[in-house]
Amino acid sequence: MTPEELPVVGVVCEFGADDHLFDLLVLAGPPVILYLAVAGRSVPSEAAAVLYVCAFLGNVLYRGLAR
Amino acid sequence: MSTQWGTVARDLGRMLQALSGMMFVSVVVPVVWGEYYAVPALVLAGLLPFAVGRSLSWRYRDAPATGKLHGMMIAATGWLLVGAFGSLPFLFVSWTVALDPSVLAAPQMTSTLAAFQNPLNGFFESMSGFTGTGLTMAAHENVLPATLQWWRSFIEWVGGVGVIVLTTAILARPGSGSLTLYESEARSEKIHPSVVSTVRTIWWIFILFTFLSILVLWLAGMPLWDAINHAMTGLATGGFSVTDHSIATYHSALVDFAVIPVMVLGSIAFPVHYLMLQGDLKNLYTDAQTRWVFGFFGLGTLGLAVTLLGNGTYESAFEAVRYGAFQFVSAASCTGFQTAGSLGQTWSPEAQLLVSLGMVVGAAAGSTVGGIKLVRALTLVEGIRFRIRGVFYPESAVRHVRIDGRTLSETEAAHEFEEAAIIAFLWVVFLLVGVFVLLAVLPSGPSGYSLANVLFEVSSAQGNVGLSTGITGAAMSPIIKLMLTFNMWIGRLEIIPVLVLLRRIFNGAGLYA
Repeated sequence: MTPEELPVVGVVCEFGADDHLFDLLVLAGPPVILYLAVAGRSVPSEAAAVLYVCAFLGNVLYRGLAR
Repeated sequence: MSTQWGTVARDLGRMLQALSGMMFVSVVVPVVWGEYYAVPALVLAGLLPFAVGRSLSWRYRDAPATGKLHGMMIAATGWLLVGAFGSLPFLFVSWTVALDPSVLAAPQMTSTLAAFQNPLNGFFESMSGFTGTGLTMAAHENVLPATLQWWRSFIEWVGGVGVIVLTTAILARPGSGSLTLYESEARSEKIHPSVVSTVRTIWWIFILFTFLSILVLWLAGMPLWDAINHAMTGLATGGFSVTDHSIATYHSALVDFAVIPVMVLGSIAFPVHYLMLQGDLKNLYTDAQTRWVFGFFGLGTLGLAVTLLGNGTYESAFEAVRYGAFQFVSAASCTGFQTAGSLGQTWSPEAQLLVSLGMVVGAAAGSTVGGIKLVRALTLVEGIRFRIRGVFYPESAVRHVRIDGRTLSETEAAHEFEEAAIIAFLWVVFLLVGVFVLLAVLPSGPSGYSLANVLFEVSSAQGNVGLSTGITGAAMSPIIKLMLTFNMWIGRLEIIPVLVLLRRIFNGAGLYA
């Protein structure tokens, strides 16, 4: 079974923008936010948030320049 | 019941069942926050639309497929019905606290929560949420139970997606400025052959942007609960807040400047977002509407900042830019977040007028914003130019017009000018109706409200903005609450679907030949 065959993952991949990183960010959103709720404001939690935002912005720029 | 109404009833039934799903899912919030007294209220609130919705969708399950006319009637009636049923959580939670059954251990009643014992206040709040307006009956949002803070944000968030779906899949027509995903084949490699796939892609983008916005606001310094709620209402350009003074609560320029891009994201047409996420970044400047959004926001910010500095409202240029940028973007994106306190009393009439202009015009069609929409305002300007230039051409001349990146023949252009002019005219008509009613009911004079205040408030309601000069509140007369609710409803639907619905009703009642 591939990840795309899983119920939620499959829907996210099918209706997204044909990019696995964006699909991953959609799936990772709730766990990241849950982590912030549990861990509170700390260096690791802020690093996780910064990583998420940078991953999004970086991928937008990368796809734009690659095109 | 005619087959047309059967189709409408069936689809309304499905909408109500989806609404009940929203309420059942929201039970997580009172459980997490320990507000167990609110759980029965939410469950009961969900059972009612579920029962009505299930009955309707079952009774009319064999009705014909949904067509364009049905779409407009469903949109108009649907927004009204979800507004009505969406008020039930407010009503039931406040009455639970009021009745205070000992087994539920409800907290002390507050005046803010007590306001929702009045069904009309709950209806107003719910319509304000689903239409993405953000005018509120809550005097102090921070004392509301987290359950209702969440419900307000959730209905604005869903309402924001609803309007994108409405304008890109149902109301899309030449001249409306809306680009349907499945009509953008020329710009996109991915073809969406159906409304269903369009809706699912819109949800995908909206959810991604919501997570992104939550993290950006949290990193800027907002507490996580605030970041979650403000990200949802900011992206949906609704403007409900969980704090008493909106974004001004944080007294942080960093938070102000972090919220601005969230509102801008919600102001750009979602088909453009889809293309950008596919790597087509040049749409940020080649797409006419997106260009105009940035231009309008930029010019409006500059104009407002200069006015505020010139009037001495703020002493420093930085403050004038900070508050001017935030408030103009908040107004033009029709979000309604506030950082400048007492807009009605502190800011000069010229500054209020600039903000009003932003509210009335709005931003891109196909986004979550309200207002007339930039593309219609610019279509009207182009129409005037075309007509004046036409005086200098012979009648036999074949002329073309470029609007929103499209080249149109005279006939096509005339159709689009007509559409823009009709919507703008009707917008002004209903705005004036609202102004007239408020002027008739509200006190005037030194201790009352000026015409500028009333015009601002009705513009804010009909443009689905939510900025207030202080008129809106639980103490308003029921006539004004109903009038502003009507303005919010008709503004959200861009007038025509409401008139289509009313015409069908009058036809059915034999009142219209």
